[in-house]
Amino acid sequence: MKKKQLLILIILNLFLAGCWDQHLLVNKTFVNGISFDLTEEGKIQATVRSLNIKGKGGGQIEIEDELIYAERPSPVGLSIDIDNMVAGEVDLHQAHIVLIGDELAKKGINQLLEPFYRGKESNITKKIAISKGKAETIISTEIEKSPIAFFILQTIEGAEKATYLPDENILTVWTKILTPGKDIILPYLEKIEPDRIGIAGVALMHGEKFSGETLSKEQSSLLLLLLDQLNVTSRMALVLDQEQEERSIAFFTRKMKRDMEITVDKSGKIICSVDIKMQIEVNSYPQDFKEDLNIKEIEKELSEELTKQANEIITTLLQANCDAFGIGMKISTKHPDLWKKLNWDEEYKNVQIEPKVNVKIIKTGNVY
Amino acid sequence: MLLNKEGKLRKELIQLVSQVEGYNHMSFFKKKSIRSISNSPINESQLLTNDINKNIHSIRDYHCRTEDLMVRELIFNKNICTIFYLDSMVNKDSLHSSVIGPIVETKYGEIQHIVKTTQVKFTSRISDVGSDLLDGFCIILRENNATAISLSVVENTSRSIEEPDNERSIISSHDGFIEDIGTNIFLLRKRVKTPQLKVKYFSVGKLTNTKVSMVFIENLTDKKLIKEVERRIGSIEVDQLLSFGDIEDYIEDNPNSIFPQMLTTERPDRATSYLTEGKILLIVDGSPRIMIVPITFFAFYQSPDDYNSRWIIGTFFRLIRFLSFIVAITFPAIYIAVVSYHSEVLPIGILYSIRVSLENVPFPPLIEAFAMQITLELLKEASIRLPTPIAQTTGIVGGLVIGTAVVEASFVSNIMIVVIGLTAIASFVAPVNEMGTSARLLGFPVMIAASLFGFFGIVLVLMGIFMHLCKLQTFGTPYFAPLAPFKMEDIKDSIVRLSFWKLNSRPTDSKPIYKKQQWRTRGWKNN
Amino acid sequence: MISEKLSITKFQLFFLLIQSQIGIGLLSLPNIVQKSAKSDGWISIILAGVVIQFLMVVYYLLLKRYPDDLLSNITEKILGFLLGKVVNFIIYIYFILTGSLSLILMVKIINLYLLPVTPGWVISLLVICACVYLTTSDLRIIARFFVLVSTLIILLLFTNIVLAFYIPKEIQYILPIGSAGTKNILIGSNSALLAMLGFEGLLFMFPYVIHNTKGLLKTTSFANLFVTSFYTFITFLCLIKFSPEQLQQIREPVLYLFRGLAYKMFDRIDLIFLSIWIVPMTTSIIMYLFLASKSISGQKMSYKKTVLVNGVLIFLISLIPHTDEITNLMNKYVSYFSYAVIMVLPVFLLILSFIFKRHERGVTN
Repeated sequence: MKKKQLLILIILNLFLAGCWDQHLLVNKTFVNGISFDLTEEGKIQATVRSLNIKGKGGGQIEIEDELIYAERPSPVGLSIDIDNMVAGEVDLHQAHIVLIGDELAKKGINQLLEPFYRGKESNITKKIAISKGKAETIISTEIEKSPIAFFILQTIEGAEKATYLPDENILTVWTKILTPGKDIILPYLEKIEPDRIGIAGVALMHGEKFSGETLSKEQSSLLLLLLDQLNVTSRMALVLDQEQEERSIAFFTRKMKRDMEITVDKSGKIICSVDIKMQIEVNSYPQDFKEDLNIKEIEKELSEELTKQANEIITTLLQANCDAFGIGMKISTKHPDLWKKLNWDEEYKNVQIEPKVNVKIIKTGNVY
Repeated sequence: MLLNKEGKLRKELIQLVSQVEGYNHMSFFKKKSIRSISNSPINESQLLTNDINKNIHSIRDYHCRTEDLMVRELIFNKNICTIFYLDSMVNKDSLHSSVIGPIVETKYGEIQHIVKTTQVKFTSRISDVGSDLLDGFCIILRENNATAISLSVVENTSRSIEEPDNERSIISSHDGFIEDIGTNIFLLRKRVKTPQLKVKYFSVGKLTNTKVSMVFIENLTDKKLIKEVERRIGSIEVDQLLSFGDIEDYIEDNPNSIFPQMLTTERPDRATSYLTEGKILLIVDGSPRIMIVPITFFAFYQSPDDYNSRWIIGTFFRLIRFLSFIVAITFPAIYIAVVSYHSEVLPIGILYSIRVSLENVPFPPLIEAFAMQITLELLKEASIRLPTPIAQTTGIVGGLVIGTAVVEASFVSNIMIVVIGLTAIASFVAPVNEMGTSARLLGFPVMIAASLFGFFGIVLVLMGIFMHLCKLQTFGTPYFAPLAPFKMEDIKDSIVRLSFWKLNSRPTDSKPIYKKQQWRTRGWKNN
Repeated sequence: MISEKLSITKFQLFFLLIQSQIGIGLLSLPNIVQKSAKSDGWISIILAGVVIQFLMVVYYLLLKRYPDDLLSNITEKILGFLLGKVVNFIIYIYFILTGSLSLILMVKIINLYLLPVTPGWVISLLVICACVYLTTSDLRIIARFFVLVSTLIILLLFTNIVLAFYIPKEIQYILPIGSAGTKNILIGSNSALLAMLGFEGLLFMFPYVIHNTKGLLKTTSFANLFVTSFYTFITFLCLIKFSPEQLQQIREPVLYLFRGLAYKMFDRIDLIFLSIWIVPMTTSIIMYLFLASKSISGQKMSYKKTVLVNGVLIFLISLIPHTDEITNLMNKYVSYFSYAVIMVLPVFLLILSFIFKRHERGVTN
């Protein structure tokens, strides 16, 4: 009996010395946004927006944030520098947005994101975006007192819902970077003077590198439809350019269907036909009410216009060497022998992509 | 606050008694001396003699010449006969009207035919005479006769049947057991009118001679179980048995477990429902709570009201109660683990509000939680014994004043108050208070583990608790049935409550002799 | 003879088997099979399931001939007392080593994700205490507990099925089927088999099962079917969720499956998943502790003491390795060992029993 008690005492003692891993929440400083930039000396600069949360009583929270800079030749160790500059432990991993400056992105983003994949605490569902110019200018924007990262996050999430931006987070970006024969597109942000931040469109990546080519917001919306990534809804406004008059139309895309087919002809030329059928709801269309609406004609005009735009987008894609359609991956599974012979980086530019957009109006809203 | 005041008082009384009588290390002497008192000066088997004077002396000696032992001499059949009774134990009115009156008036005949009492006994042993006196009999000794006549004139002062305070129900019956064993059996018999309802009496306690009765249904209850319970009660050799708590401690299988292994109840409807499942009821004279053995964990989360409301509602409330058990055990621990280990689990919005409320709180979360839990227990204990109006004041002082002030002084975070409050409420949900308290107590080790090892600690301790539940057995039946061992049939009336017509077989945890309990339920539908 | 009091039902046997099989192995399984079988890893697992089914039949045929004996008695009956003792000791060592390996891997995972700084010995001490606490009771109680905690596995299976609809996935990653080649798939099923160890518990649980000569094969086959399809499903999910190159970089893909999720109430579902998964991991260790204790418990020491001693032994072994290298080495040797014990030995015994002891069968009835 005495032995038992002694044993229990020893074990209890050991545990009293415990709490090895305790990281009290109260000691943590949160970081809600990180940006990475390339400095002129070629170093990597990390800018961190750390949060200072204060209760004002009565359940109100006052959030103030401050900027912290750190510079190193490589991204490794930046977090240590930042940790040293802030009171308490820095919780870098709770940051919900990572911004990367375009110059740095051209050198590759994988090394920047690596700590986020690996980290035990990192929240891998955070958003990632590429900025026009230095990312630091975006993250240091002051929008009244609300933390900028929240603002950016909300902007990106709203745009994802409206199918302006692809729904990507660090995990999916990581997956796609490591997939041969498929490239990603990332949100492209810009600072609008004086103190606003807007979505400039999407940045086209080639592998882990930013190609330098971007698409505008409208273009990216159509590209996402071509990629079969309709989120909740997609809103578009077009100018139907006709000889007599200028008419504009705004519509929602409710449903869509995509057929993508890849064929390789005898000479080894790869032809990819992308065929989308959109079912749209007309939102606004200033018209001459004396005549009845010719739905058939509008459908036709729209289809032609969108096909034309799609062709432009694809030209840009080919220029950027960005295989957003994942044509390479399709070939690798369908024609593995051909895939082994190809140098996809070179070959991609020669792929012939033939988009075709087919629009069908299913609703015209409350007005005929 | 719903705790059993009666029981607590009694327990305190027991402590007092044991303090008065001497400490534990003296027990050796105590036992010896008491034994000698109870045996002297009359031998257990000593018989009455023909000499009435000697008999009178013997009986007086047997009762240590106590002064409430009254003696009245009468002349009957021209002989002296003496009536003994304990002043405090008999009803004087009935003594006069049914014993002394008839004897004085009639003067001749056989006493047993004259008296108007309900019970007439002949005894010849002094010890029997003595114990009859204690049971409220009056004893008539006759000249030249070695047998005494015992006549029951017992004083019955028990309170009326009321709804128990600590097990209120909303829509079920409103009667409750009382301190008197006879009334309790009456309440049971009134509900189960079968000749198979069997009552067995035991007398436990050398000093107190407490009546313990064991009630069961003869051809339904497992024979082995009956034997086992009899054996365990029979093996108790103590001086005093004051309340049901004593016997519970003496006969339960795992006295060191935190889980109560006997269901105690003051509700006759509840007791009978278990009786018809083939379980055994134990009633201790002087305690309004009766014990039910063997019992399973899930019985503690059932209430008679479940059966009187619609089955969907009954099931819903049962599930809510199980949830309350889990919440009471784990909720503060999860909070501690999250704020001190795994804050990344929370999404940013919640994290910020928690972070704000934690600002300026100087204590680690474990201390915070402990302090609040203990404050809560203190408040509860304080208000239990106070008269109701004052108890309310305590509640207000505790809940409002201390709660608000402690947060404003930044000793404890807002969130912690919410957490502890929820935990306390969850633990009070248990229909049987004992289990609720056990759950709250179990919260402490889980909290400690959480503060040492985060989620890992919580899972480990919970695993230990469930292992323990799987290991527990009461009177040979598994405690955590029907989940461990898993029995689909029995889940119908334990974790959920289905409609009555679906419960064609009774729960098998107490191994009833036959399982089927209903034959035609909704037979009208077929016609 | 095994007394009525210790016996378990077939229903309980089913859960005993799946609980001892499902455990630590699952977390890294997709990564391991992908190493050799590439995108055909899921085929490897099905193959491993087939092999296990074959072994189950072998076990059944062998044990049916001695329905009241533990494996340790059977070896002595077939091989003779001395040789039998030696073989039994090898089996015992195997169980102890497998148990400690599971413990080591479990501690590693917990150190990696939940408690990075807490010393490993504290974690393993706590786990082993819990294991010993349950194992000291008889098999019936172990079975009760295993059935109870199987709700967790079923819960996780459900969340995974829901997950399968929810997560972004790319079926292209596993196409074309069969591209890895038969040899690689077979190597993959070798590693899959190791993750599915635990079915050998049947060798020692058989005599405890009520009516063990009838319909037992059905129960074990169902258990095997469940485990194989569970593993295949999860691996398949990982293979279509992560790109092949990425999968090679992730040590515990199953956790990353959850990591990419965030609901309104919780981020980092992987942590919650891992915390819950501690239970199935522990049950595997409990099973090995039980098997090790059963395989040597004799007249000399009471069962309870044997469990305690074995628990201490497993704990001590778990203290030794720290680096990945040593763990891998140990993993390798245990796997060789396991082939000897779970494949070669039973087949060998079965053949011998057919040759020599044809009459044994009549004794049982």
